[in-house]
Amino acid sequence: MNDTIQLERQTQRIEGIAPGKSGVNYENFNYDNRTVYWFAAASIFWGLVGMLVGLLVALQIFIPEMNLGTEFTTFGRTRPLHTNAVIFAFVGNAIFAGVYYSMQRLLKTRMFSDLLSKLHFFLWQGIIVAAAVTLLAGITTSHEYAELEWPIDIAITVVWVIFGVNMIGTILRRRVHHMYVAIWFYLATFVTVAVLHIVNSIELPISFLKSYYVYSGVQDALVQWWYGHNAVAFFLTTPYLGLMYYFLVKAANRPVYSYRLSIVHFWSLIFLYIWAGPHHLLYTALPDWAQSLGTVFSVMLIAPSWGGMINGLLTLRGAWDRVRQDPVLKFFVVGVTCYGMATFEGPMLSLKNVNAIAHYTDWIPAHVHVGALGWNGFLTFGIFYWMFPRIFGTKLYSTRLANAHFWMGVLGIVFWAVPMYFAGFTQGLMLKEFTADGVLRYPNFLQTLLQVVPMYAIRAIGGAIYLSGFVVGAYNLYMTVKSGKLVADEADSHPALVPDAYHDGKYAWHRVLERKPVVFGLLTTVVILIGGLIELTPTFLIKSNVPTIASVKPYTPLELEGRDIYIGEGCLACHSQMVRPFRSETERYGEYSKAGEYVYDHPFLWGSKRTGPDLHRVGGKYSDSWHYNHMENPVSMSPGSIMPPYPWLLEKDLDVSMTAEKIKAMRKLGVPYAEGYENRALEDLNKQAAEIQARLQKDGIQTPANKEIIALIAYLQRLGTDVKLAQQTQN
Amino acid sequence: MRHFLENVTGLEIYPLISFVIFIVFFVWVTLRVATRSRREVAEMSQIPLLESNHESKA
Repeated sequence: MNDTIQLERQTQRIEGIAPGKSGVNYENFNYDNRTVYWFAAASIFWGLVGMLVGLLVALQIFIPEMNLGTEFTTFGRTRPLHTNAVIFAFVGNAIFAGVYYSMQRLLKTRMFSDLLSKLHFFLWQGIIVAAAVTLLAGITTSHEYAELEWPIDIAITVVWVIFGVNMIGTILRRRVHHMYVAIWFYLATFVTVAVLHIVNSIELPISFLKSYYVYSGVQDALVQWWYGHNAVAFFLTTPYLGLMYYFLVKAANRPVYSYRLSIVHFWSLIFLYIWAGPHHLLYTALPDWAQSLGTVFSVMLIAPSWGGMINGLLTLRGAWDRVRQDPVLKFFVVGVTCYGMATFEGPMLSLKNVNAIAHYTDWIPAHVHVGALGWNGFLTFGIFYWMFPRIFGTKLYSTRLANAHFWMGVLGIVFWAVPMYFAGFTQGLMLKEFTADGVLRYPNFLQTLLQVVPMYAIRAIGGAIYLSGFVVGAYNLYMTVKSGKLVADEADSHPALVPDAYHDGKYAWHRVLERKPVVFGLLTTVVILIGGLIELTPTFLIKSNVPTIASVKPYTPLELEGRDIYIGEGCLACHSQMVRPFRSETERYGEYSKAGEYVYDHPFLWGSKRTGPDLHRVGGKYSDSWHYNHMENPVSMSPGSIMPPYPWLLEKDLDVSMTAEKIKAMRKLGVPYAEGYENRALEDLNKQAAEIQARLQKDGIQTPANKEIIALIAYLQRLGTDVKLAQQTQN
Repeated sequence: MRHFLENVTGLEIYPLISFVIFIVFFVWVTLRVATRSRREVAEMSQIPLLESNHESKA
């Protein structure tokens, strides 16, 4: 059999054309490149914004003046803006651009509906704008990477459904029988993000832009980190693996190294990832069995992750000479290598002994940024450099600029990550160091923090270099766009899909599955639900077994309002509320934290990073006037402190218009406020505020009792005292 | 306190079930994949590289 006939038969088999009928009618159709371009352009625009905010945040963390003196531009609010902008705006739009481009070509059809594509694009940008405005206004649910309030959550759900309908519609209208591996990853992304988003957004609204999570304390923490971890898995990883399997293959112009490996890697990755969430909560008040489960599955996760990396890198076998010349391949190689590094580090960080040092330190942002800047950032630019010339029918404006961008990016990542690893090790070890006499060598948290401030400065330089590279890349793509013309509707032709036109009856099971998108999608859902359900269900079902601590009482109305200020100002971006059971922590902060202490915490506020000390036992540690002065100007109480000042809290009146509603909502969620207490709540609130006002007055501070600072002081002074007071009483 | 779940009977079965499900699933996928014909696998991996008439060439 000669090569031509063999190739023809092979094409027929793949594409479902009956044998011997190569002369079948070809259908003409157009690929929609306009939506692809819009998403890509939006990704670049929001990427620039998000990384510019990132640079601002990197400066704010060690130069308090960079907080610009307003509540809207202070770290606690700009940090979530940065994370959301980069994850959902930069990466999100890049995913959609890549998915819309590759899916049409892999399935040989136009996207299902132009209207849905347009709606998807515009609504997503609307959500991004709404997110930016609300986050800076201090409107947040406090769940990391899920900070947006309930109306925006609903909008996200709507857009996700639109995306899903458009994607599945396209799959069902395809002209080739088989769904290539990239499509499986897109399907898994759609299904899992939907499940994660819905479960982690179950909130009880109390007003248009305020809600409380229905979960509290330990349950809330488990749900949030089940979500948080899998947002990384199914928003930052699986769609990008799908993109890798298409764009890397196209750019290298050779098939994926091992298709078999891609099947094993796909199923094990989506199965294992969903379990690993609890590794974010090691040594916390989360039940031990859940922590262990998270650790074990995280360690196992290295296998499929590296399966993917190896499959990507080995696809370039025999083409390594081209990597030297082609900037697209350079970006891909470093991107996939960063994926390998981050997914080696992840399981390592999940080991309890490593986590004991690394958690809450700068090691974690270093880990995250190797993934974000390397894997997501570099893959995105590799894809754009490959795709833009094609959809604009032109050549890349400048290979030299692309190479310059590449090296600036690499340098940027190195200067970002290395100092942060160094800072993480240094501070993590300093915090645990005891003298020969058995007392903490660095009892003041600030001593350890000031040690790593120079590393923060170098990190900001690294970020600036990476961002400069990004600007060069954006300019290069802009000039590419200008030199060509958008091929908005790219013509192609392909025979129609003939149902079961050619079938030799010997298809393997997975090949059969690859022809059934709906079954494939359902199976994916089942696979990801197994892990989620087994992990979450026991913690919820045995809620009654969380021993309630008799001395733990609901927050007073003033404390509840203070807690909402704490949430709105984003205090948990720098302060944890979780004393781990280490001697170094109990010596520094006090009694370790217990699950039963958080039963009324809707939402939990454990935090994930300590740029400042833990606050769970801060109640009663300082006087009210210390807090007052500290919030006005932190260095007045802690010389050398890098905490931003919060002078507006001293000026702004406390909004008590929702207090009664908040009490009612909390009661609905199971907090035992007496029936009708909401009517007396304000009375109690004013009484407690007056007491604080009087104590401040004693220390020479004159302030009206109705200021926000009073509520915040009430909350801070309450923190962790239920257990402290109980112990004092026992003693 | 951290061991408050120890009193709940039958809890240790959860991680066990998880492992069994995963191992069975993993072995099954691996075996099925390993037994796929070489020709078929080669064909599947060609999908993104099959150019239609007009699609811009790499």
